[in-house]
Amino acid sequence: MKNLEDKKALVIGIGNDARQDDGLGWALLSKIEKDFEDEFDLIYRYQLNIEDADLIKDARLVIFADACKNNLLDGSELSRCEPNGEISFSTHALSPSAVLALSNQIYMSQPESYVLKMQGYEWELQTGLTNLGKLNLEKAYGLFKRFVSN
Amino acid sequence: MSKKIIIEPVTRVEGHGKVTINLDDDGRVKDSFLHIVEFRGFEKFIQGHPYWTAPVTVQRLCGICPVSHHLAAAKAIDQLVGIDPQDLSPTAYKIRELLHYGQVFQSHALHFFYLAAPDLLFGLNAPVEKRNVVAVAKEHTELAKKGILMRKFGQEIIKAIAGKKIHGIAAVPGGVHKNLTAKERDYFLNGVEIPNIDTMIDWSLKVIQFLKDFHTQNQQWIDTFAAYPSGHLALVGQKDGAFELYDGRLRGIDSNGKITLNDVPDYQYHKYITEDVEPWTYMKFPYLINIGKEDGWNRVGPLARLNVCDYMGTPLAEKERREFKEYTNGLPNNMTMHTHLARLIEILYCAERIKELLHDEDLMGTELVRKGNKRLEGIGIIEAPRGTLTHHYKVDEDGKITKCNLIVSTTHNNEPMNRAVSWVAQNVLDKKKEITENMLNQVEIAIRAYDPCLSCATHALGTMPIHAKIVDSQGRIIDEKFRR
Repeated sequence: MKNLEDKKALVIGIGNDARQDDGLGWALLSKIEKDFEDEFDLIYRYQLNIEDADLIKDARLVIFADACKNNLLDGSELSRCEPNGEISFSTHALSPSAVLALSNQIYMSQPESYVLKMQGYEWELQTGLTNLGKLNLEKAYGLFKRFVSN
Repeated sequence: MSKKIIIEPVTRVEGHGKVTINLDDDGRVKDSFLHIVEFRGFEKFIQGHPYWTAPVTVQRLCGICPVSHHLAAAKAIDQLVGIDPQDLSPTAYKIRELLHYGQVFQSHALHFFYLAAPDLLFGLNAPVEKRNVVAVAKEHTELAKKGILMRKFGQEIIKAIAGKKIHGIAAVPGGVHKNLTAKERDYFLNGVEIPNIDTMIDWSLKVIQFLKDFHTQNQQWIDTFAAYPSGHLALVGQKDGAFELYDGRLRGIDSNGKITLNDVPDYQYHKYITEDVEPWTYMKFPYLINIGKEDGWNRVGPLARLNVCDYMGTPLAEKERREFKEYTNGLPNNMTMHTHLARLIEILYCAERIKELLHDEDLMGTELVRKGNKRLEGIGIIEAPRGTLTHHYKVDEDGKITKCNLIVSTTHNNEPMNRAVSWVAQNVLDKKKEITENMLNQVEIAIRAYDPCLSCATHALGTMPIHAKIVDSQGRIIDEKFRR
């Protein structure tokens, strides 16, 4: 059994930086890389998928960072992620809850997990975040830093 | 009162699709349509970019098959620096093949274990909340674990060649960025950190047997569901009719096996294939010019590839292909649900080829890039997991892209998927007073057999999984269902 301190802490950024605010997840990883490179393994993903259950099984902490189409009160939101297998899926991709459920089901592993949502506004094939998206990125990074310091 | 049934979007299909089934006043199916919200803007987006950026930029088209777009673009861009596929160094050619087999292996594994398995294991009447991979993991844990590790194996092959970053650099104009080191090769052979390639071959055989057993138990359903005659299109080997995924000639056959496209060089595709448009969908309809729009459409993908090839170049896959062909007495297989078995035979083929390549010293060679005389036009066609994928570029004297044309696999399968939906509409929904979950499941199962990849490069949290509604001829909603 690994010592808890030896286990990895992951931040998984989900998105596509060629689709405007869909790049928020990766943009957050870029900011984290500058200040917290030694503390987190940073993983870039277009989408979560079944093998990510294998990826997270040995982690002590997982933060899924993703753009969000829904309205968020403060533009970003950090919330606990619980496993949820009772869902249907719209694409090949899995939700963070489904990855957690799969890891729990197959490996009996359920690392402490959170979802960091950032509200996005435009999703066309164009590089660069919108101005509102950039604001939400800063808010999300603030949430992340407060979470880490606690 | 006439009704319209709309299913939007189709679950477990990449991107967004919407199905509309129009009923007449008697409840009979009048017609049906699969509307695809396909993104066509990339061809404009890439214009003005330097050609050498294309293989990296195109990976942003798709989160599921970025490697396929990368390789098709790379084949086209090679020609802009004067290199045809046969001119690549042995190391570059084989590294690209290995990358491609890794991509097809992981993509097919994902489709079978994640998308197809819930339908097959739990049946048409299973509740929606059960028809997903988490339920598969709960009731068939070892099967799900194999699926995850097979998918991971393919992804690790890609990572070894293209690097860890999301926009990996594997192919460069005229070659590849790096070779495979002995340490990287041994990672896939020794089975220490991940199950090795021999295990992948063994598991591929086991999952084929699983599906064959399922077929025996459900023969009538598998053989008849959404089955219809069609043409088939795929690459075959340059020198003969060998099964081919990376580079070859285009071959087409009709539903009886008659040749419709006779092993033409892929760079001449535009002389033989064109695309039509319909007012009710953004997606185009490719067809063979010599046959015409009405009958010249073709299925592409695993079923088509096994139908058009004369043999597969690895022993275990060839044995399975022969058995597959014997089932239809050597004639083309037009049974949609047999696409799943064809896909698994391709998994086995890829695993065998990966093993061969891992033992090939050329993979560790040092001649990575070659250059020839500059050209202004390049065409790259590969067999992506879902079927024939075409990238066509023109550049100006400064190397900036002036024209781009893509024909993606799912576009070829546009008409076939519409035929599959039509089959379900006619055979399942006709004259039914109530639209049940079972019926909706069958529409989705017919589409999912093609593993379509639609407008998939954006996702974001909060997307609604499914919305089905019945609308009368006046536009009033009679009934609607949501799946969350």
